[in-house]
Amino acid sequence: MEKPPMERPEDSSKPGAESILTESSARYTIPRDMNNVLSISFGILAVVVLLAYSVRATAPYVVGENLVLAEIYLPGFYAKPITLFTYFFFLSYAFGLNSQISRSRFLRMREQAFESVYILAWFFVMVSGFEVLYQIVLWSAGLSVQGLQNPDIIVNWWPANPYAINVVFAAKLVVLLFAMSCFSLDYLRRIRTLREDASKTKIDC
Amino acid sequence: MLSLGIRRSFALAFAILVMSQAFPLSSAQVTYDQWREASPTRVIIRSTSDWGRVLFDDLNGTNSNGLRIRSVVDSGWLEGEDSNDQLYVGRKMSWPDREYNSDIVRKGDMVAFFKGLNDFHYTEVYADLVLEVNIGLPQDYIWLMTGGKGTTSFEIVNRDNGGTIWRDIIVASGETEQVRRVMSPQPFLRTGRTETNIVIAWLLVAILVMIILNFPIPRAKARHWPLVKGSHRSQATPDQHDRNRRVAGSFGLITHKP
Repeated sequence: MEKPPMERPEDSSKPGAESILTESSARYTIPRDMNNVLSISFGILAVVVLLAYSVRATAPYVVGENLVLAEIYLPGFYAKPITLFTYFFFLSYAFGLNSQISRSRFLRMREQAFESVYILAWFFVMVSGFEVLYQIVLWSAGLSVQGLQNPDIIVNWWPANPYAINVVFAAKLVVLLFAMSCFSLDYLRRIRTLREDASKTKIDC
Repeated sequence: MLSLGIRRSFALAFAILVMSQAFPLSSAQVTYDQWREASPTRVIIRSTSDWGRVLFDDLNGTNSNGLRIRSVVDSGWLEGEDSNDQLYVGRKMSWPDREYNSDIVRKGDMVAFFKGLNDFHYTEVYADLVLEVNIGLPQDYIWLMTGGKGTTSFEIVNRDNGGTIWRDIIVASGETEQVRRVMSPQPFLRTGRTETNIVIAWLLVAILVMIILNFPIPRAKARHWPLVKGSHRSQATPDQHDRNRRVAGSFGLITHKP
């Protein structure tokens, strides 16, 4: 038995509106902005690097050791997996924030929420800024005691961690967090200028 | 002004916080003697010094450090053994020390090697041990000792899975070095895999950031429906509708059709 053709839920007498709807929906689901494409690509690379070098047959007793002691050969130089992860993740974050979707989201955000995000960004600058100093000082002290033999095996047991954390791993992550926070601050300031311009235009209208 | 219920909840939470600080129920109250047998371990020492020692004991030989040798399974040289080289592995073995300008003899659980003074050729020794760990202490420690010249690396490996539990390097500076190294008792008891929560957390953060920054969330999408759906147009005044459309267009969210 032949099924009757399904009725279209929308009023078909408005072809312009329908095409706008379809086009708009497609724009939402499939990111075509170059920033989005780059952000997703770098994000996938970051996730792949993290997964590939975290899951190992021999379990590490030091947090992050697998990502620090391994070396990936790239044309011209070697890189640690954690180094590549921080590079890729920062690029993913930065391109993602610069995309049209994120910009419009921040431009539409309520003033209170926008200011809260701004405060949160400063909060992360403070937190990660201290952690950067802490890790670097700890790293230097550890290297000094060790006799400058191998910077990659310095670990942090304090205050009473059940498992030690590799200091290179921790330092890279907090530097990543610090850089992301600083970038977010600059980004929010730029968006704030746009918001102020938009509100002035609205008043002028 | 907050409601009475909320104020009561805050007061209750504050009281619980104060009481929990005043009368802690944490593991700090546990007894200090909780010795557990650790997973089988191998101690590996690689050195160009003329002697080296790992002391799984305190300086007085009372094991207040939280780590002690229960038994020795095996020991030997992996590389660089000479006829006069000596290896000492065991419980409460004597070792010489100097205190207030006088030579004394101490006892302790140790793994040590002695190649003869001024013998700096590369050697590698191992000792398979069954250790006991005091889990009542938040942190345990060992003493590393070396002397003369050369570099010595100490490594404690889990024999079951080959994972490095702990390692460090000491560079001798011409004098006898005695350094204390702190560690957690947990890795000595673990045999299975413990993937770090930090790595998993960062993995989730990376995926979430990728999704949030590059794909519209449904709520934001729903907010734009009135801009294009004819059925909702009547809810906004023509002026409001035009303004909405202008703003959306300026953000590149809808395509203007002639």
